[in-house]
Amino acid sequence: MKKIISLVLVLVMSMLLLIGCQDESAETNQPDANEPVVEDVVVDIFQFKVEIVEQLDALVDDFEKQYPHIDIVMDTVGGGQDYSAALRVRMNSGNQPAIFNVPGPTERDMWREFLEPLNDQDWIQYAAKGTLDNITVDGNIYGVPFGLEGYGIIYNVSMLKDAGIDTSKIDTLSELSEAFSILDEKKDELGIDVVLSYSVGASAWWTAAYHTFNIPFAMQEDPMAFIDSLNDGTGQIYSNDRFEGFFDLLDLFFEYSYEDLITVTYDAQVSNFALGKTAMLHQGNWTIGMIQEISPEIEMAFLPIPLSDNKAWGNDSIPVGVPNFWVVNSQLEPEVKEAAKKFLNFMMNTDRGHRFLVEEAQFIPAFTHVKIQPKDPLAKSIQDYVYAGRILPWVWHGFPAGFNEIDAKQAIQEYYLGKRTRSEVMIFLDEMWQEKK
Amino acid sequence: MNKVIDKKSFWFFLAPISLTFIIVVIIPFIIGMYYSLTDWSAIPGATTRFIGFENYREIFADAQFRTSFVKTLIYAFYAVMLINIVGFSLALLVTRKLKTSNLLRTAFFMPNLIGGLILGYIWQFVFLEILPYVSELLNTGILGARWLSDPDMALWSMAIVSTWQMGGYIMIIYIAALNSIPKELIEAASLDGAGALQKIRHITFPMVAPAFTVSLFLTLSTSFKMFDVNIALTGGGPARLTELLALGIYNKAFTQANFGEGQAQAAIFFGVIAITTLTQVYFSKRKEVEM
Amino acid sequence: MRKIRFKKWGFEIFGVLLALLYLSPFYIILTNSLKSKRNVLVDTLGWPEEIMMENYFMAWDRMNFMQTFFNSLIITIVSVLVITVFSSMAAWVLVRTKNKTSSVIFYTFVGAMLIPFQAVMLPLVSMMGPNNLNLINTRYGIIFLYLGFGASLSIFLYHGFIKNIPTSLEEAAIIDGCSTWQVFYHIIFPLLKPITVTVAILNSIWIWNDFLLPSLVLQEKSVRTIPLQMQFFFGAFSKDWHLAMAALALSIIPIIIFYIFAQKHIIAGVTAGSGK
Repeated sequence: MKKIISLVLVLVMSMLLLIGCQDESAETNQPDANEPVVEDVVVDIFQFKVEIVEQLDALVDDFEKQYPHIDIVMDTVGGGQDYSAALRVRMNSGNQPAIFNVPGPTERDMWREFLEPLNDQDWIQYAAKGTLDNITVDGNIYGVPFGLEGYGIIYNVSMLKDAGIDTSKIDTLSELSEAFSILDEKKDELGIDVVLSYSVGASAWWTAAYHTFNIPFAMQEDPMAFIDSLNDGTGQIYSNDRFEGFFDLLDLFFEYSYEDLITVTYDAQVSNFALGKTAMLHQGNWTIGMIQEISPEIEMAFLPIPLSDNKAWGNDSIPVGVPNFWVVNSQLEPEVKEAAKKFLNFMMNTDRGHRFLVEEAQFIPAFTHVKIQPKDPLAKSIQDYVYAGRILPWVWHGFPAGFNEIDAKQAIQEYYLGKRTRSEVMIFLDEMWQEKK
Repeated sequence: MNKVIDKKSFWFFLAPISLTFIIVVIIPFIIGMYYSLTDWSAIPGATTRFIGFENYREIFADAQFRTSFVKTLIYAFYAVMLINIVGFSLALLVTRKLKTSNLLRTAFFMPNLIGGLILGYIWQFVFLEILPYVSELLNTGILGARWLSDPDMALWSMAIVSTWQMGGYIMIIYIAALNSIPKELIEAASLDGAGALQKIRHITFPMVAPAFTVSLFLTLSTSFKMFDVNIALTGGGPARLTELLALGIYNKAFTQANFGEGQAQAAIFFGVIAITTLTQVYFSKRKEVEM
Repeated sequence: MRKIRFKKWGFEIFGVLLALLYLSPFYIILTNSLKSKRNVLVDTLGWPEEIMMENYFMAWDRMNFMQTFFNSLIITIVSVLVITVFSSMAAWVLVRTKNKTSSVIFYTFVGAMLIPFQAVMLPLVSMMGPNNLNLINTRYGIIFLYLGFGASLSIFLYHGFIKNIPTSLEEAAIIDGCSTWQVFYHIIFPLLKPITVTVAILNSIWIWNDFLLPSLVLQEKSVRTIPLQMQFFFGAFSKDWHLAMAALALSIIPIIIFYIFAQKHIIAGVTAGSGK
């Protein structure tokens, strides 16, 4: 018996070895057979968006058919992994990618030496207004926007209609508060647990620490000037009226959301709304896939996130921004850089590329010459805001590194737990900003 | 030099692993220590300035570092205790020559096969949904605690998950030790009329003392270095009150892009672990001899 | 006699109950690996509404399972092999040579166990790059790294074990005219079987599950291991738990089968020391 078992073991192991080897040899042989003798250019792409790996692979295949001498090697690190850490490692290892991702000014300045100016590329003329700001320095444009994303208070259209709420009128904090209390009174009728699906912790901590926290900055008269004033010490968060409004908003959210906001995961936050257990959800258009997976027919749109009743603040607008840019590594050989630009052009300037952007990757296009329109209700709602000019910027890319994920997260959780008062939290944020800037 | 191993074969036997070890661990560690004295940004080509002990000064002024430090000590205490008690009990159970011994051994060891995000997902679910549900069913207050949102409970939660994961690992070490106890010794004790507890106290404990030293050392050092479960289960929250040192270093270096200070934290961290664990080894070794 | 039997049964039942409690998280993995994405989100604890075997096929495809599994397997097996051979060799001479050099070397190995990986990570990666050692993206490169990182614990465990082996055997063998290598290979190494099994198990588990180190040096698809490929189920926002669970089940099942087959040998190894 023992012998038989050992024999089986040996067989299994050697089979595994054989299969593995076959796979490998098949893989290495293939290119040899197909490639012409022309010298290959290898373009390494290092990107973070795990969701679009398959779509991107398909795009790469079509590109390589058209440019047989360019070999694109795609590599993805993301999804719970720290892309910026992985990028540093990758750069330090000497195996540098030709195309990588940069989210905004902080990283842009960090990798400045590695960024190739793309001013001569012809897609630039079609870029929607403001979408290149975060990647431009001294007139040099260093990157291609992925697309647009927006967030706000997503609401269940039919539910609010049933409650008799006119959503077109909600553009101040009082009106939002009014709507919340109406919904809260009709909880049982509507079959909801709470009004708003929100979170300040677990896997959805960034909802509060990035997105809600962005609003008081974005509503400053000149957000960039405000950030500069924090940096040179002439301005402060403490006693700033937009931040007072921010805490009014948080109080409202805390009152009408779950009992323990620290432990609400992203899955729970989104699926509770999709299941009709809440009437509203503080999130962005990226939730569409998950919501439709659960309730394909749900009707939804965005409400703004108001901080006060002051019309001058932009309380009727939602924050829309570019989440990330494609950039070309300037330190590689000219022919590699050329090939990299060809690939980005293929993505931005061909019908195939446009199909990838809008239909496959489900981005809201940042370019005016993209004729394909997004179909999902959240993307459409964001486009309505964009066309109406009711948009606020995303400014967290200009914060000191780690300010959102460490300090803002901590501050909001402490405020939630009652460990710090409003003014203590604001003083804490000012201190941390000074320390990190 | 003794007769069996002369100088030449001493180095010959030692060379392969030592050279590898020097290249892979020692040299990078020394480079890392040097970086802790600079404002290194980890961006190739960027200039790196030597700034002396500036980074260390910053760390000692940092209130969060002190918090992490204390929390790490508390966590390590919980985890070392739980893991060793559970690991040893499991080892006692499966070495009882039960019919199901082999099956049990496999079962207790299986949690080692799950790591990372999935581990965090499952346990978050257990703490947030299953335990409160069971608690309601049985009408007990303890199980329905705020496992992840109360900072002290969250440390216990992490210790529980680590125990679930590492208990089987430590069990293996205790099994090896328990199996090396000569059967005659136990039989003799039984003949002399010793009870089960007496046997454990007077034979088992002294005989597995070296395994205790090893296991305590292992659990202490892994508890100090704990990272996975921390990031997957609590992410350091609420309000950074469960951010243990390893996660703190990671945040300092990668999230805040302050590599010099991150390396300096790592250096202090190394010092602390070294002192604690070596003290532990020193004391348990002395105990071993006394027994 | 009856009382003893009764007690024995008590332990059996207690053990089985404890094992069930221990394994209960696997229930979540198995049931959810067979659910649709919606089903996972809506009802995590319940039985699948509909059995979705296709999750396994999708997970298989997306992970490039055959290649990935092979990579994990070969890296784990070869690493464990070199670790056990070289660390037992080193531990033996370190125990048997009683002088200052020997104990300094031993304590350096043990002390290094306390170095947090984050402290060596970046300098290490720069050293592995094409300009220096050129070990990025190769299987032998990461095996080399595992030998370095695995050295401490393994030498430490072997060292503790070898201390208790009497020297008389080896001395006799030398007198009989064996070379040092022959003494090690024919006499010492076989005696180390119980601890070798322990060392091998502990290292296999670590290497099989390791994420951080391979994520740094295995950058190309063709050399990636299972933990690395798992990330493709976790988007920045939406996570495909159903596929991740299926992938996890896929990668655990072969190990369990192996373990059940190899258990006789493993147990023989662990208990071989009991006679002495």
